[in-house]
Amino acid sequence: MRLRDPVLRSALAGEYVAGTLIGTARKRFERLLANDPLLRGEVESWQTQLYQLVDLPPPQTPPVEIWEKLSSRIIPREVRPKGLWGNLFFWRSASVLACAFSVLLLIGVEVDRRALVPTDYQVIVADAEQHPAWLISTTFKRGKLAVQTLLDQHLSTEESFELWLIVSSDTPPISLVLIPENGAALAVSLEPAGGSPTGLPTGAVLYQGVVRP
Amino acid sequence: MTSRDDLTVLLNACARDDHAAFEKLYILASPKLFAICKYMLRREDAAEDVLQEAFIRIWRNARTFDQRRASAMTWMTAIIRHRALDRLRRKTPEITLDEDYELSALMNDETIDSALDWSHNKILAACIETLSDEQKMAIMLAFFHGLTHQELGVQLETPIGTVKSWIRRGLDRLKRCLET
Repeated sequence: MRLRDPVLRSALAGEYVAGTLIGTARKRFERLLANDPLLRGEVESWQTQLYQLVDLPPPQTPPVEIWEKLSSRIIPREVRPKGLWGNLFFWRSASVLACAFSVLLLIGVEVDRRALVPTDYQVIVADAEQHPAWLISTTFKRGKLAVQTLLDQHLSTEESFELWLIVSSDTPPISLVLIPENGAALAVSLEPAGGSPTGLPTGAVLYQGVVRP
Repeated sequence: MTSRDDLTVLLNACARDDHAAFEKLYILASPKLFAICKYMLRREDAAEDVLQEAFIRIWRNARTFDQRRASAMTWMTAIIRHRALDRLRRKTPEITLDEDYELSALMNDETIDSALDWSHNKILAACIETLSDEQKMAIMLAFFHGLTHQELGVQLETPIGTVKSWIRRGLDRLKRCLET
């Protein structure tokens, strides 16, 4: 079957993208698509416009287990970090100067060597609208905590970002701590250059993420 | 937030089996794609399944992505939507009852508007406003909830021919408006 009428071609492409072309009509259209680059162009043009609708539902960060399942199916065991969201870990050092664009900053971490070998973990720290802003991951073997920006970050010379561990809403945020077994949160605040003068966050908490043991 | 270029670069890197790029792509794109899944499927477990399956497909098919033809987000959205629509049409009778109940709750303008954030795409919001109420309702229910012409006819108590013409004319008007 050939599809020649330009009005019908556009209309069917639109219905295909909108989802109302179903069953055998859809299958027939897909067969035509496979051999008709111009019709594919028509579909792509509809997608570019109609898919703006998917901007409407507010973004939601999926549960971390999905990434765990996904990575276990895709990433070979030998290159995979040893299980996300590890249980026991110790870390210190916090003040992070973020550079423009995504820069990987490696910060020395003192790992408590007496602890059982901790599992590496990754935490996504998000802004108030749940956009991932920082990726924080550990490599305990090498005693490293990696802090990676996922968004462009700009700071004046008078400002620093500072990373905090929030154990609970009743306890003051601290920058050196054992993650308790019932979880905690990580937060990045904006501070005067050199870090918070008081030992507690003094500026706005810009980003937050949850650490689950 | 995320520039188109970032996603394009990451998706192209996935085509070269770059796992780190895939992880970053997931971090950047999954909140938006998960929101679509949840909004379309209205069930957390189904949305999680579809998101996972779609990302596996994104990884495996990354080689077929052509940045000259579509943006990375458009390409990924097509994959997510195809899977979500397939899932919606694979209803079990048990789920259908619930869904019919929920659908009747969706059948009004306020419900459609309140779950959605129109603020950051003013052009889209303005173009949607050029549609008649019937066109808007039919298109939103078809696009987001996978209702077929026939289902729309039943739910909106309108002959199927009328529903078809709402959709066809509405889509056409929407596309023309968005293109200008």
